[in-house]
Amino acid sequence: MICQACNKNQAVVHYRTNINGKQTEMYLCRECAEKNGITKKASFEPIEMIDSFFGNGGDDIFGGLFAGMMNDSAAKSVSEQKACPLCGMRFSEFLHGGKIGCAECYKTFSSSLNSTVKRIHGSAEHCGKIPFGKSEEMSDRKKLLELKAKLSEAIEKQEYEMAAKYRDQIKELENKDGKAGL
Amino acid sequence: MKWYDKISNKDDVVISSRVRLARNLEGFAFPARMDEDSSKKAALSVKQALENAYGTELEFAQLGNNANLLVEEHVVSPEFADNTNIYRALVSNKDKSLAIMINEEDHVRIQALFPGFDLDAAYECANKADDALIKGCSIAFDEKYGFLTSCPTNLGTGMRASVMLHLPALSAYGYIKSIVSLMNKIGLTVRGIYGEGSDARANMYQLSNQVTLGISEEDTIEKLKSAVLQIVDRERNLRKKLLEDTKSETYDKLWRSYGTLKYARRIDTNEASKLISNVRLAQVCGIIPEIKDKNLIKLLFEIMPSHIVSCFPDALDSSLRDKYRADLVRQFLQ
Repeated sequence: MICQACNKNQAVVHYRTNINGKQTEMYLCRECAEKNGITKKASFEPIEMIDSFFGNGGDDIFGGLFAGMMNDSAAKSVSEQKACPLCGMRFSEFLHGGKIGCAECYKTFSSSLNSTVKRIHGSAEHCGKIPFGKSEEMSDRKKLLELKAKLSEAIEKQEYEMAAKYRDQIKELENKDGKAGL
Repeated sequence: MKWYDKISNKDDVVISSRVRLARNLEGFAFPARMDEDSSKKAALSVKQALENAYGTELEFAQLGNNANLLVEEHVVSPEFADNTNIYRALVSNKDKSLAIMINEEDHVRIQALFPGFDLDAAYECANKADDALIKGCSIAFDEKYGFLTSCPTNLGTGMRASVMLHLPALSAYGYIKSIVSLMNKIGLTVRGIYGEGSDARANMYQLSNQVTLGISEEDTIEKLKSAVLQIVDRERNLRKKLLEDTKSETYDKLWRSYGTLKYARRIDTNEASKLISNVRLAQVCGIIPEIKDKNLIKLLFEIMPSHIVSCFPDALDSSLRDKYRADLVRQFLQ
């Protein structure tokens, strides 16, 4: 927020008075605050941003709360204190600030994060938009999973002809760009 | 032209609809852990992707003195207007109904903000920008967690859909608390438009989804819509009940609010918001015909401190601002 007096500097104080029920408030930079004779003693308080329609819709209220959401086993693995290879974040930093460092962190800390994510959302499986390019790869993976299930079912039922069919389909999918391998 | 210029009297309860999508680029740390260099690189690739799809339709700008103004208009978040060492930019269309914040909490925050109750249009608009982004950039996505975000509360769709509701009658009858707890039970959040503790300001509330993982965009919007329809229904019924007696105190209060706004020589933001809320209720219920075509929601934005300063650059102390605010309101109601 920019200072409302000079419109130049970053506002660092939120000045609010209430005199006989008449409220006055300003967001000022330190210089303008001092110029206006607002001393530290009077009523400096850390800037309090006007929260908006934007919503933290729950985005920012967590912070340390995550620590409480971790179960014991997750907390133990946290003590390993490994750092994310891409951004260097440690899990303890997440527990403290509630924010992840980078996309890679989700892989680095997957075992510790999973239970937290489940507790927040009641689920840990995405359902919704898949970016194109990734959808083909993903549906191949799903197909592959289904085929493998069918294959073991066929073997169990001793339906070897069907099993051979599934085996060939699996091979075909796995060879496709070498991408879909599980 | 601003996004709120198109709000009409038909938007009697639902003032606006918003969809926000959180996205991040692969290969970059999230903004909180970025340096200036990489934040510039990320911004550039987002800019390029959007330019390829939209051409000159979108404007690319760094935030300057107008930051507070944009916060008051709900175009950018307060956090986005904060000072930072990293490179931040805003990509938006002319009326700012589409605003894309680069390097806020996530690399990209796409926001579509539409007048009235139109979540589908807002989603369509945001989704189009998202497609453009995905086409041009490599977006961080995980099969299990969906779109990867800086805060795990946004994982999955990365979507926050919300509506701004004007609920003077439900407030008057003391129903807000029970609505809040009811909505929480079904995974929705109710907040005042200007944050915690400002619940009473102008009787405006925002209702949004809490959960983003394990539920699709369409289902999230449908769920929100059906909750909104129920609230709208109750608010309208209560308004009828509240205003059926023209000799009542409430009726008198609405006319008095109009009188104050029309003739006051000094007024602060809080009082003005409260009175505008009352007058807006009277207006949409057809009680004050002479102002039936005025966009009082627009007025609600224009009385905010930064807006007053932007119109009257010498309005540096609040007492002078109160005078200008009263002038502006009187002129508006003429």
